[in-house]
Amino acid sequence: MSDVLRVGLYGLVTALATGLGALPFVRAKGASPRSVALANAVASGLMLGASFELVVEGTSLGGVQTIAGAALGIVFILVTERALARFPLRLGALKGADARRAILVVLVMTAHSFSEGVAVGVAFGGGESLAIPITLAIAVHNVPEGLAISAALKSRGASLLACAGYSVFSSLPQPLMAMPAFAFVHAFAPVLPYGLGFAAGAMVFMVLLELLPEAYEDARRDGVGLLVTLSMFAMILAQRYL
Amino acid sequence: MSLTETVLLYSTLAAATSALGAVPAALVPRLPRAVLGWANAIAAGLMLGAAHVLAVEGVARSPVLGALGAALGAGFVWTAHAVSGHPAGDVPTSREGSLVRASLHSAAEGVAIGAALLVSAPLGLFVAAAIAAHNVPEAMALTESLRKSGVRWRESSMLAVLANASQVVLSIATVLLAARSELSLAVALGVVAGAHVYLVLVDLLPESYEQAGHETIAVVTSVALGGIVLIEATLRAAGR
Repeated sequence: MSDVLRVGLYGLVTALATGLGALPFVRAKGASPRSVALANAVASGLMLGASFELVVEGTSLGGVQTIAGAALGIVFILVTERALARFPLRLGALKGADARRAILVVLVMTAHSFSEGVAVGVAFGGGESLAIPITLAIAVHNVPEGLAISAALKSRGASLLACAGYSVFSSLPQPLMAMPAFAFVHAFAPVLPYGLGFAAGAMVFMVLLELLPEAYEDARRDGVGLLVTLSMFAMILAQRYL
Repeated sequence: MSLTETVLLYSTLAAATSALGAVPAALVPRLPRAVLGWANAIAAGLMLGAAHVLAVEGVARSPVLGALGAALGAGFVWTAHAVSGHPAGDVPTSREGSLVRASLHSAAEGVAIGAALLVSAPLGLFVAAAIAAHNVPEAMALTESLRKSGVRWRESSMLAVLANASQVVLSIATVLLAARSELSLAVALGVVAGAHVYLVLVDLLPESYEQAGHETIAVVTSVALGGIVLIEATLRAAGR
């Protein structure tokens, strides 16, 4: 098996692991407005925690590039949101504003996987001996990302299978981007801080634009504040150790 | 200049900038709601930026102690809100309520200046400058809310500066207590990052969304946050 194919295969394993993030919702039944709000708070915290790590990595490679990428990420969300608002949307059982928000969450998490995939490929370029530890680490690290997607989708009425499916889908760019990044490490390395910034900017902006305002509508501010802060630092901790 | 003198100077200067927040109130009879929303969103972005910078330092020293500190920080502010009678972070309508809330914010900011200064002198200066910048829009919102409860602008601007006195006290206490080891510093950095994130989520953002709409607030907050991250990354690169 060629090295490039092996990187792709490892990447596929990490994408499949994202689907495990839907597991905590196996027993979740119909969602009250308050549980939707609290699920949004958890998703917000997890996405902020993931962005934190991307920004730390991005700025260590180039501050200006990371922030330029983040600005592009914000523009991407603004444009996509306006474009999506023009069509009558459906996503599984979801319709209207719920479908639009769910699609945006899946989109930003997918965009974030693109840059993670590049990061993985570039990291693998550093040496084969690290391949399996890195794969395992990313697979485990993807589970809370699946959790963020599932929290946002399940609370709006999506099925468990849809949550797992969209979680895996959101991570598919990882193997797809890891392969060319590994093969052409010198070409991809300079783009990496822009990509990391883009993903972080899109995620933070999505949280500020959609998830937090929706959370405040149906839950008390203190509950939202505590859940976001705790899940954000739990995500940072998970990414440092897993 | 000793570390204690430096922190005293930085935190006093940062607290004094609050007086500038009263200037708009002196010029116009009433500030539009959207302007207050912008002010709150700028303050939120700058505070999140400071939290980001401090969390980076905290988790770099010890991820577990940094994250534990963040949980403690959020829990501390939640308790303080509950004790002061505003558990859900509701906007206080009384003069005393507004002042208690403002003092709590500046207490957390005092810990931030102290902890940042313990990391390095440039970081201390940077965080103090970020907090000084954020004190202006914050004091602007506080002055306006005091004015609504019948306080004249001169008195309300003085109260806005006084509410920041806790900043000076807490910054010195942090320098004295957290200087003992890298681990206690990791906890202090985590505490202040968690407290800042929680305060932004409970006080500043919900209020600003009501004042100026989601999209505007998301853009203004992101720009302020990105600005802080960019300046810090540039300073860090220059220091290497």
